[in-house]
Amino acid sequence: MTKLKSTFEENVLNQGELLESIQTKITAKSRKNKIRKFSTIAVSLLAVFALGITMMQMGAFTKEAKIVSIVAVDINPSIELSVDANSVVVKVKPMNQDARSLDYKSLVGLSAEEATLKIIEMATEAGFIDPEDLEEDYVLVTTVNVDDEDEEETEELNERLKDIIENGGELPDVNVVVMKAEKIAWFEANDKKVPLGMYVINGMVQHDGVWYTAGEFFSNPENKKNYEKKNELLVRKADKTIGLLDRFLDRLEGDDIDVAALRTRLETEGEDLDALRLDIKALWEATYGEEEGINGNGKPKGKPENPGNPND
Amino acid sequence: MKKHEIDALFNEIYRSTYPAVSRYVFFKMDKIDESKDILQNVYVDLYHDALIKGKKIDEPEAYLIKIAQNKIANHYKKAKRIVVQDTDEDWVQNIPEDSDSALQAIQHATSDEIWGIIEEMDELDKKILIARFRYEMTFPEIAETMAIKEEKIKARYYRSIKKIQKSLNI
Repeated sequence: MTKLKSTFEENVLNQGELLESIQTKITAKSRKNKIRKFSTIAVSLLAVFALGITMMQMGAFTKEAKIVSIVAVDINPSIELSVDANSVVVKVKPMNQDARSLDYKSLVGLSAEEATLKIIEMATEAGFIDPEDLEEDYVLVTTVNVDDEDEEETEELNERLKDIIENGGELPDVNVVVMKAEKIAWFEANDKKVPLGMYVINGMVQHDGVWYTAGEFFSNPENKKNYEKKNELLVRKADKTIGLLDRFLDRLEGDDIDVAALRTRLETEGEDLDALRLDIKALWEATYGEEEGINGNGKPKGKPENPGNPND
Repeated sequence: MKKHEIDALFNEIYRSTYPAVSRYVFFKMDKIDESKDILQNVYVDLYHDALIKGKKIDEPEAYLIKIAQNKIANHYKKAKRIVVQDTDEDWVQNIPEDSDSALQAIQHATSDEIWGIIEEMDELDKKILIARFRYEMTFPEIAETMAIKEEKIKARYYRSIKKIQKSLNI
């Protein structure tokens, strides 16, 4: 099957996906029909009871339920957290199919900081971040203030997120960028169906309708240098360690591939490890193909090449 | 009929009719999301208004297309229709070279990369590509279905393929 055919079958009126949503609607309609069969009094009582509960809930949580900030975490997957004045996540919106594959509902009730760390943890477990490969993984964390009366909560949240990520010892070896965006950018990103983080990043460069991923943007040393210095965006830098590169060279050497020059560079102090990583990656892919991981078992499931698209 | 029998019958009808019904709805609607909604409602109606009530359906495909026709007509009564027009007058001069090498190159890209480019395309170009690759229609079939000249269809198709190739930098 050609790549184009499979792309369209996946993304356009996907038969399997549509069947799932049809079944959900059928079940919903069946339930609706069953409820209609109850007597008028029973339905009224149920309605009054439900109204009472809702009013109680609204009364108990009115203050906390007001959303003041949005935290968009884009890896792929892309997830949007709606956060209240106490920095508690009150709503979670998966922005693409890969996000829906994670246990995103478990994020409700956590603090925004905990939820952000948990998203990174879940993405790593699911294979979207792989600390054991030669790819630079990026996590974009973007905060948006949606409370027109007060920006302070969101500003403080942004600072706390930078702090916890910079000092988060439990995080995998991944680059994390923390940014701010205006509400208008958030609306525009949603309208264009682009993850907010990508939308903000792409707003920083000229492009001819081609959207850069975070990896592509930051792989340009000029971009990386300018924005690290100017905006302190990159709060956590992955350190694809010498040990990891060494293991890749060992595997190549084990298959009688000549890595002497690369080995020398690895052992040379002051060597540009980024450039070396890319050269080792090129040799690896030329030898084993793109899908082969260091453990020889192929790339982890769910590892995409690009951030996804909302509403996939 | 018991519920599991109804479900089994529904799944069988869905599987056998989906390609034709989805194709019908796709070409009648302006947007893919709208097609999705219509299709969902067509099959929900099949389940609740026909199968649950024990209605016998001799020609499921024709039956479903009839339901779809009604739903599409109702949809356009309520909504303002945006007509996808082809305003390109220079199509004769602009037919690019053959796209085989471009298609070969595109094979190496990922679905996400390709779909990201296609999503940004003009609605008409999107429709032509979907007709060609999703529904495997020939150019004459596409031209007839969309009531657009075959040469125009081909020109837009080849330009779209080249655009995908160029956007992928391959």
